[in-house]
Amino acid sequence: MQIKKSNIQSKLIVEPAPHINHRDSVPKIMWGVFISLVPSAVWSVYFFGIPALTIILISVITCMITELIFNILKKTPLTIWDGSAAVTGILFAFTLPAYVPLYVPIIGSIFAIAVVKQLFGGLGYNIMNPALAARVFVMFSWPTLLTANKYFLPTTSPESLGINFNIISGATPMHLLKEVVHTGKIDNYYDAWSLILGKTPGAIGEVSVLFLTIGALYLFKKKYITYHIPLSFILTVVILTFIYGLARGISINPEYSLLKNSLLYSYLHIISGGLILGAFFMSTDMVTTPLTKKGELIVGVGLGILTFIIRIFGSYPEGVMFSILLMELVVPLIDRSIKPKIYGWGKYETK
Amino acid sequence: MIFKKGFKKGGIHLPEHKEETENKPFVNGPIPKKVKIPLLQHIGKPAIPVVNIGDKVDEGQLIGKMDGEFSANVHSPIMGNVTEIGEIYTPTGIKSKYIGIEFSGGIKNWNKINTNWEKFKENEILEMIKNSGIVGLGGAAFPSHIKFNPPKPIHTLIINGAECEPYLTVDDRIMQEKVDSLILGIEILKKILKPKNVYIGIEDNKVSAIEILEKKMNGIAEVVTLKTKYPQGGEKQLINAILGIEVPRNKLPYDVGVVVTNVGTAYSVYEAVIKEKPLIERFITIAGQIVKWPGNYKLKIGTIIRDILEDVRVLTLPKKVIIGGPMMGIAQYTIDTPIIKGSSGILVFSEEEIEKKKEHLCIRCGRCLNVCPIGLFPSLMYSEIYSNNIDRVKEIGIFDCIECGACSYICPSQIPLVTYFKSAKINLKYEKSYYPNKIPVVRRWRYANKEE
Repeated sequence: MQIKKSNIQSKLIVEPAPHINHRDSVPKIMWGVFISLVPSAVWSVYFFGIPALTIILISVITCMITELIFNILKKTPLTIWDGSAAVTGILFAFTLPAYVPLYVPIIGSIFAIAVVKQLFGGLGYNIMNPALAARVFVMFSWPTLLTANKYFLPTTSPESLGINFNIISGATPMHLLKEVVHTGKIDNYYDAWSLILGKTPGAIGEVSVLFLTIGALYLFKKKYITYHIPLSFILTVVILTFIYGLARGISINPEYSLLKNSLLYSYLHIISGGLILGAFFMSTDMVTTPLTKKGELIVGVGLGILTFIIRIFGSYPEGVMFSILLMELVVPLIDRSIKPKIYGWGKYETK
Repeated sequence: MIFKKGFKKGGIHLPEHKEETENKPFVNGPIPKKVKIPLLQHIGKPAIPVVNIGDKVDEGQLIGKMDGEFSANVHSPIMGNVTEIGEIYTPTGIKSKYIGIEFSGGIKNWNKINTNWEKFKENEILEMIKNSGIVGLGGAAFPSHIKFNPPKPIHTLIINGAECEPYLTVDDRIMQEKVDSLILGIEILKKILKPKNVYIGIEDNKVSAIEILEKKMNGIAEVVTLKTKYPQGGEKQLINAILGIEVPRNKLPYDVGVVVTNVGTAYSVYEAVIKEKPLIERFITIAGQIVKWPGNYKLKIGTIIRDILEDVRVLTLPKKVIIGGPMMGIAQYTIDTPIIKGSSGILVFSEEEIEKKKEHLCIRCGRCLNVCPIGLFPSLMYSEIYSNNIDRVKEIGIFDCIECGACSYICPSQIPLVTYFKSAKINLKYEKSYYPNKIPVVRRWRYANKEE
């Protein structure tokens, strides 16, 4: 078909440049993060049973409904399908024990979206990670519900999961590591394989290092996260715990040398508790990380130091959550002080 | 060479979309029946018309005389009669006087060859360039006789063959097909500028052009293969990539002893000096999926876009017509606009090709900051503009923004960042009140000529 003079219409779309766009969009990124968390969710449902699934579903749905209510109240365009509320929901569920009463995830999710996210202005304006802030909120609201024994109520016999319950009596890996600080030695610990696969008591999403790593690799491949924060975070924890292990003379396996024991100690710190979940999924939340790569490295190191301090010297066994929340509050300061050098400014001007 | 040079800060790798036209040799476009030649096709003052309605003009005859030094001559691209003088919006969105000429038949053969150009004096050559109305053909259309007459001696001449915009392939084709003429053009430039070093910067996706240039440019210019990264062809970025230095802010390249010019400009210098042919034609890439015959064409300046689209056959109704590349080009209101000296491409998009944008809130991902080739803080500038804090934006360097569009391209929230910056610049420049929620759509990439 040839266009004749008469029928090339002059109704053209006029837009400012650029006329092409990168394929990523906010919903794509958010649902990508959601998908990356699915493998660990599946594992936790397999391991903890249906209660884990219920909690995940309830917090995701509550988060999305709260978001919807705020959209209606604020008369803003609907943002429930951009996936950010769903990510908050699943991350919040991941920090909870599998056997808490159902009002805990409901109230926590409402708090996360309503107070931490929407009252600050919605997506992009929250100063803290909503899921983690809500976790702290429920932790102080129901301290007894979130203690160690709620982390693991075996629905199946523990022997079938390959865990000797007489020895470890349901304590989470982090509680055991805390004992090391007091006694300087460890009698019984989970073997590395059950820690990596996730056959240990703990919060829903934090137990399986393997499946979390798979999700993190997906995020790296999609370039939704960069290595700066996770790497500097984990490396700092490794170095500090290694030095601590050397200084304290920790003996985990009496047959090993001190050097090997210290290495083993920092290795256990990495694969136990919420460090992997925090390093790859929570501390990398775009909203609450610095804009510059240098700033991200600073945050990573700060996270490592804070985690180490809380884990070793604090009264809580786990420090990832608090250190992330604390570092997030420092982010505006970091952004204000670390700026990229502008082309043609500075030393070239004076020449 | 394993390690390729590139500018230091930021940059993005864009989908290239060059395969459609990169192997298409230049085709001479038909002589248009009617042309409209705007008198303001360059940065500076508009030319003054020297013909009246009813006059007969020859091909290459002067019809607009430059107004002062900071201006450029305009010539008639066809033989014909002047039928109208009026006002029109040029593709860059600037209102300008134009001269309409109707074709009366006949072509002029530009077969004069000045073999003795080496005997010309420098100021004679500059005068020829000035008379030919040559402007920078990369897009900014800066008058060349000013650029090639820097107030202080320079040490380096950089020929810009980067062509970092997707879709466009004219510079690539010039380097492949017109390499002998290009060499002469560079020799002429070397004679008037007397640089110590001459470089040709070229992105590594133009494999055959690099091969040809490396064979032919021995002893004339050093071919520098650069990483394919947008905006490698920006003047400041190219200087940074090749020499590793930065141009201080509010300074021009000659302040650091460098002149950067496009390969197309070098080619038209050759035409002006050797053939004594003024700038009345230029090479243009026409691309887009609905164009039946996409390719690289040699078209008369002043041809109406509608006539061009009829000649290359558009298969369905175009929904968006862009003059220039997709990153910095300007979407046209109407296709009844003529092409001008600075138009390097015509992109025709159908409805399906237009990318729908849905703006979300900024999620502070920091990607804009990582891609900014200047090292600015786009998301911070955006939030300051949005909160009406316009003086602060000036402090954090909005006037250093080169409006390359990399931040808008990468933004996952699809915020039109560069549009905000262009608007803020205009507001700062003319000190108008600023309404953050009523941001004007800026079509112009330059506004230096605005009457005050």
